Amino acid sequence: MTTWPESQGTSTSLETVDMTINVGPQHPATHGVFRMVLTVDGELVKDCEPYIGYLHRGLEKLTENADYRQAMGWWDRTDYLAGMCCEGAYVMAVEKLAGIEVPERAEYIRVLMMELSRINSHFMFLGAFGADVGSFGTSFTYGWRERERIYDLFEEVAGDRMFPTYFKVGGVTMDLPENFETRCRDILSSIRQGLEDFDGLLTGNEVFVERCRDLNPVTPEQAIAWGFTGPMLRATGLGWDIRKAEPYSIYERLNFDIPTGKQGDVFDRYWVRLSEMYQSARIVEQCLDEMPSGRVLNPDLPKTLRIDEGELYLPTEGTKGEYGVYLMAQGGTNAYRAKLRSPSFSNLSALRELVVGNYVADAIVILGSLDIVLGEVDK
Amino acid sequence: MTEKPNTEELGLLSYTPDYGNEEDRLQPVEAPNDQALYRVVLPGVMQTGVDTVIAMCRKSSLWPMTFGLACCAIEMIGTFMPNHDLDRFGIVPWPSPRQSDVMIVSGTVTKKMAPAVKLLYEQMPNPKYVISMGACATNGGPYTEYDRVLQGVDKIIPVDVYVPGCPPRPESLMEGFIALQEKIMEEKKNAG
Amino acid sequence: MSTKTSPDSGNIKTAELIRTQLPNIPFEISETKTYADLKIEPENFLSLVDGLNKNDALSFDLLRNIVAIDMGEAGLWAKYHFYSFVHGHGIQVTVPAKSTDLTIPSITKTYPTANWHEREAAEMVGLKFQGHPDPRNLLLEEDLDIHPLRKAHPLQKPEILQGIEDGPPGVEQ
Repeated sequence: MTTWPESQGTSTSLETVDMTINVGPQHPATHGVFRMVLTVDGELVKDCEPYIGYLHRGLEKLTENADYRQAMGWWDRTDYLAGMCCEGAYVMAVEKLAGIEVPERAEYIRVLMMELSRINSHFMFLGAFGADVGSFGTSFTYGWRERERIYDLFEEVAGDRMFPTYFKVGGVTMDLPENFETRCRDILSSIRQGLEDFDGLLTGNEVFVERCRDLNPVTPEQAIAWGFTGPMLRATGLGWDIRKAEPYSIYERLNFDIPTGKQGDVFDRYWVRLSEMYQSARIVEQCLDEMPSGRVLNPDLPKTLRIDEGELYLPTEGTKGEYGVYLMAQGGTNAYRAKLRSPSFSNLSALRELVVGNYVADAIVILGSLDIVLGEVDK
Repeated sequence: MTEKPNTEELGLLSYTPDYGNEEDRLQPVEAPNDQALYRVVLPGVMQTGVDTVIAMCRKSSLWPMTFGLACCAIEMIGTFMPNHDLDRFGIVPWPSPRQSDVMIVSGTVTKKMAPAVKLLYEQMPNPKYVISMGACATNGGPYTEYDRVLQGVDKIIPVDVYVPGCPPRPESLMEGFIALQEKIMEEKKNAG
Repeated sequence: MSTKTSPDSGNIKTAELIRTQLPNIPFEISETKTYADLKIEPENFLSLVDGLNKNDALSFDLLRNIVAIDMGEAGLWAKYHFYSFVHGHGIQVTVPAKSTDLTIPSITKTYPTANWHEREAAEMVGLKFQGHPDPRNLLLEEDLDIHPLRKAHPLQKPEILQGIEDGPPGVEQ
């Protein structure tokens, strides 16, 4: 409770009570079914309690009751903005557990598809984040222009827009079509044009920069203690990317930089994601230039995949942070235990510490800058 | 080196889940059954013409409540975007349930979310319609075997149009809206 | 040909480094397909975690993941994955829960990020974490007391045709 000060010219003092606001599971920001209860004093947030679990669909239990290869259909719906990144992580974990080799052309195709999915997901972030900060429809339409082009490319290659289950244990399902290279280079040039448009729309906008700069700075020690990975950690200044630190697939042969921020505030998080998209476009171009010819599927795949005793934890660089897959096999065709280490879960667990002490409007901007996707958080 | 736990005493092997009073939370809502004022006041011969005009107006300006739950929400947003524009049908996404006509349930409905879905449906004013988008809202979809997932949103609210797909293409959702428009024209005297 | 399909021997070196730096803590070393695994009893677990975090040659500062597994006859186990930014090495730690009351000491004081991970592990399998500041359900409803990831927990039957109890015509039920 606060009292209105006497110097403001009233003879009685005004007592106020903290208000509880429920930002419920349905709200216009498109982050999904997430609920938080804010306790506010005027406009200042005193306490924030996140509630998750409204999309808990049982990925881990269902994976225990299905074949290794059938389970991919659930795994790519976890991060539903970048389906192929999740497919890649799961399929690499199964191959490592079973000891199956993948031909080189398939590795290049996989990395190409994963980086295009990363660009796809970050365009959605730019669109939704712009909407949170204030440019409601404009940034959305800018982002979706490029997303539709990438979706068209996915449809030509793999058959479906969002969840093609294109990756297979031992390679990819089918080879690329003949005009793929020209189509991909066209799309890359339009992606670069789209990024410049976003740069002009958001970074060049004084209101956006004023709202986001110096809002909610985070030090690297705090970020590590809270379990941040991915662009949230790189915005604080620590340049850690699993593609460089614990490389998987063919990332060791590719040249790309890791953009970092300075003080971990909301503007740095946005800036790191925008710069990452340029680097992903570089990776896609290198994959196109260096793509070897050959087969795309391992020819000695067994008819039923049985894996004896073994376990592993494979960390990969998902679009939002460290997307890790833990698998334990104990004979048979099903996994004994499968767990998803989702980056949004760890990033979101620090929401109370991030939001308390800011205004309500800034709380929404901070939640948008975390870039969560509820399919991952609730598994 | 670890002594084996006494699995029977700790209930590890004979575990039976206890759901408490969850059944009460998952009862369906009553379907709305009221009549519009003009049908009560006007004489029978004038009701037909007014029915047609009002149905034509309603179908041309359906305002859906943005109720994106999961992956289908991304395709729903894609349908509102300029590439597959839904605005040309008069469909404007509106976040508040008090001012919307249609609820597009796009995504998996879990048993934790079900009371919120019922509350939102009850908050919409009549006449209201429900489009169940995607396989998860139709019958649980790929997640139907997990017991925290509600096997279809039509277990708690009445549904008008089902759009199949996982996720359905934007053209499929447009087809769903056109089917809803045809349904509104056919049922014009029941629309209340 | 992918570059990393064989288990890395560099990870066993990490486990041996831990053995030399923390000689008084008893644990067993084994290999997984990626990281090395240390198996330790719950009584010694907190001192191992302190050693992993505070020792300068080890300095594991990131807790990545906590997995809770229902191992059937062998009880309930929890697996932890740690990583060090300073030295760039990772390790997995396996802790079987105490056989008398299924508890494992909580590590939220050293690693604040363990808060949500332990809540989720507790509700999914039925483990209890001693000393956790806020032991409520996270992904399930607050008043439910079920553990979906136990092997004995059943699955739902999918509905074939809604409203028609005896299935499609001509098919034996």
